[in-house]
Amino acid sequence: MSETNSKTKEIEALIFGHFDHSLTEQQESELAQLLRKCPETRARFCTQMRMEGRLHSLGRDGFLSPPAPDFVAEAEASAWDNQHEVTPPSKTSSKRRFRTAITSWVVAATALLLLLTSWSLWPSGVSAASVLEQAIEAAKETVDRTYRVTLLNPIDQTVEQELRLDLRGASQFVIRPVDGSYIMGSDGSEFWITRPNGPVWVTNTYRSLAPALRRRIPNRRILGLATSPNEPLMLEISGLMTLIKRNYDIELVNSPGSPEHHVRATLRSARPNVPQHIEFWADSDTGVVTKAVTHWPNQSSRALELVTSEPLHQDWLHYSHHAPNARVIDL
Amino acid sequence: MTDSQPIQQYLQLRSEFMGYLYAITRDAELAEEVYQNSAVVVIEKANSDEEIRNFRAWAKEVIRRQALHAIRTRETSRRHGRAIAPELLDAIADTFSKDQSTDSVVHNEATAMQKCVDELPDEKRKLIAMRYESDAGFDEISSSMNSTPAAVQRALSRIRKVLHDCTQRRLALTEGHG
Repeated sequence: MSETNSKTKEIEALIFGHFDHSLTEQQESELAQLLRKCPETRARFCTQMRMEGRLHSLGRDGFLSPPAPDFVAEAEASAWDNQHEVTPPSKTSSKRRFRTAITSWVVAATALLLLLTSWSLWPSGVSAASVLEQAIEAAKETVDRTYRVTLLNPIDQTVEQELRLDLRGASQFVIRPVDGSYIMGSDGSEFWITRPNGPVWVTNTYRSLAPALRRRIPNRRILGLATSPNEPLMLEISGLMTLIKRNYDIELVNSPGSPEHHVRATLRSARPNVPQHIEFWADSDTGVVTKAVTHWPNQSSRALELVTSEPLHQDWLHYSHHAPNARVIDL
Repeated sequence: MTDSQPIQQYLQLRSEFMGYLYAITRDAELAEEVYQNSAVVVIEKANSDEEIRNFRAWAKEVIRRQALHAIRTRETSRRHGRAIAPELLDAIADTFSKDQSTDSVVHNEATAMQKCVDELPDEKRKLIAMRYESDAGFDEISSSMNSTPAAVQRALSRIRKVLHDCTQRRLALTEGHG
């Protein structure tokens, strides 16, 4: 019995070592031999292979992180769920975990966006805390602004992807990569996404958009941000501001004589898929944030820069403006 | 409508295929890329008149070929230092091709494992999330957890073992009830 256990442990050590890239050449050869000759090893390897695949899939779809009620559920419960028909946060923990994934990019983008959207009430010499409170109020104003969004390579900081983000107030947006591969937006009541010559996918709950797309579009990589668990978009400003308020330390780091306020937000405790630092620069007269950068644990960063505050077309936030003849599919 | 069937089947087999792809590439990004490329082959096949008798076996072969092609041409296994020994690569491919696990076994296993993941304590979930969600290396995980890479690796092995044993227990229970 103990000999069997010992053999099983040996086999598992080799298999785990393989998935951890820690086997020596000799151990790899040993594992290969076992796979050729030992049915038990083959069966165990197949099981582990499937488990690894599931763990990667669950991870990609945001189902692995533990529930974080203080981080997501409360903010969503208080703000987001009040406005949209969604599952209450007291349901399953996996749904909350999915929300964590769904909101991850938001912490990056929206922290910025929020802060970006409005700063007009910002008096000179204010504290970071008061700035945040004012931003929550100011984010409710309906103002059109367009930002350039860039995702930077962690190694050389070159631009990996560039997008345009149009905002109208707190909850209406259109985002599109400059390569035109897709366009996604919300008019405040519906979320939608479409590709050139493709249908428009529409839902009234954002969280159903990304998973539905993930299920239906195998080649979802072309959708970039829209379906990535690390970079979904959701623009519920007040809830996100609450997240920042609860989870980030914020400080003003103004340079003497600078025409802009420079603010740095630091995550209080490490979490995967969440930026560790967020920096932004705001015009000291108007309060409008002109630039913001998020710094992620994997050393990558994302930047938003204000391009223009010109008013957008009235229908710009609705899919009919971008895909007038496309088939509409409700999710 | 019939066009969509093969791709739906393909998506249902995602975890199984991703497991194999990760086993031979040990690179989550490359595994995903091969999976996506193979999806294109499946879509093309769906548009042809050729009949596929055993979709799973056929798709496994597509995956296997695409993966080996990707490894040979791109040599991305270098990203993790030494490439996998060719004899092990062949052995894994052979194991994958000859795996006779039925669809229901694979499905039940997935269901059981999901429950086991849900039962893990937060600390353990955090660890596997960093590994599989963020694709973080042992160095990266250990620095954020105030630990050492070796300790992280041991902890991950223990979690794998826990998940495996838990899954098997649940499967046995299901079979017992069946």
